[in-house]
Amino acid sequence: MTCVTRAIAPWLALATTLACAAPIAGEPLEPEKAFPVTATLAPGGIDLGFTIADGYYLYGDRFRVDVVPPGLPLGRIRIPRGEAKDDPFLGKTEILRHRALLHLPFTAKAPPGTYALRVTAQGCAEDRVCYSPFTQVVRVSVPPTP
Amino acid sequence: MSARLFFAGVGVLALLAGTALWVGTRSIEPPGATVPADANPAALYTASFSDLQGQSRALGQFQGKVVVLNFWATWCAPCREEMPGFVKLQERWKDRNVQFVGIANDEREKVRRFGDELRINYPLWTGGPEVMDLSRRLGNRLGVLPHTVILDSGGRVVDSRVGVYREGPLEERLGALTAKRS
Repeated sequence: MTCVTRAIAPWLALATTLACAAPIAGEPLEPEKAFPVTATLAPGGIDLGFTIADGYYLYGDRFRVDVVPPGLPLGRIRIPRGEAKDDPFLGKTEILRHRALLHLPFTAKAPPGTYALRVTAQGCAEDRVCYSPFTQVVRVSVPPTP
Repeated sequence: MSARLFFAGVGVLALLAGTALWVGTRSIEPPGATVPADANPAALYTASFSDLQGQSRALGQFQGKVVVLNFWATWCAPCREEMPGFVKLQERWKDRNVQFVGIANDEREKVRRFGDELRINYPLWTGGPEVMDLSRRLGNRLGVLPHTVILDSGGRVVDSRVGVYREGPLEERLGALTAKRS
């Protein structure tokens, strides 16, 4: 029995590797599960952290953030460098995989309060489907400064 | 003994690799793709879009034909992958009462350029957010692209699929549908 196991083990390992390398099948994930985002108050602004599921990616130039209620003095969103992708129609673009930390800088002192950030992004499941722009709402609290 | 084990290993490998290949390449079919209550033929036929000249268009102009309605976007790579197959099918099925239509929530000029580059031989229409609203109501729960819906000649939804619809399976579906009519 041990002999049989020992003989088949390498084949099983190889087969498992092949199976893992195959594209992910089944229904695509909900956008909130494929690209969940969190908001954290950071020095000088707000960090938006995306966790991107394996086999999925976000377009680096397709983010938008709206704040409710308005009043947070936010500058231009800073997006990390991504993986270059040469798209036959879109040309050179950048995509983000696995984890992406975006930063929204404050341009002035932020008034204290709790804010809802409506974060819109766009991405795809590699070679399968692309998501039309989807919005997630995250909250962040700015404490009063002493 | 060792030869037997070797072939057993090859067998296991072939089985698992075959399974992986099948799972990885099959079409994504939304389980029980839903047909919405308001997706009756009249509602579908009157939904209005713009053609590439800016003229208002509605699916009602294809009443009596089998319509392959493809929701897509210029930024969607998988959409672009399936469209050359649609071009071939439109050519092969044009005299058999089948009409393809592409609908995108996208800029008209981008869609026009795309259509020219890929020599798309069927109408490409554009619209606003109502495009994805319609797609969702036709069974695209996640709002993903591409999404392809087939309407029979009476405007009833007979297929709704997200992901790349390959030429072979789509042609089979069209064959079954048109055979049913005759």
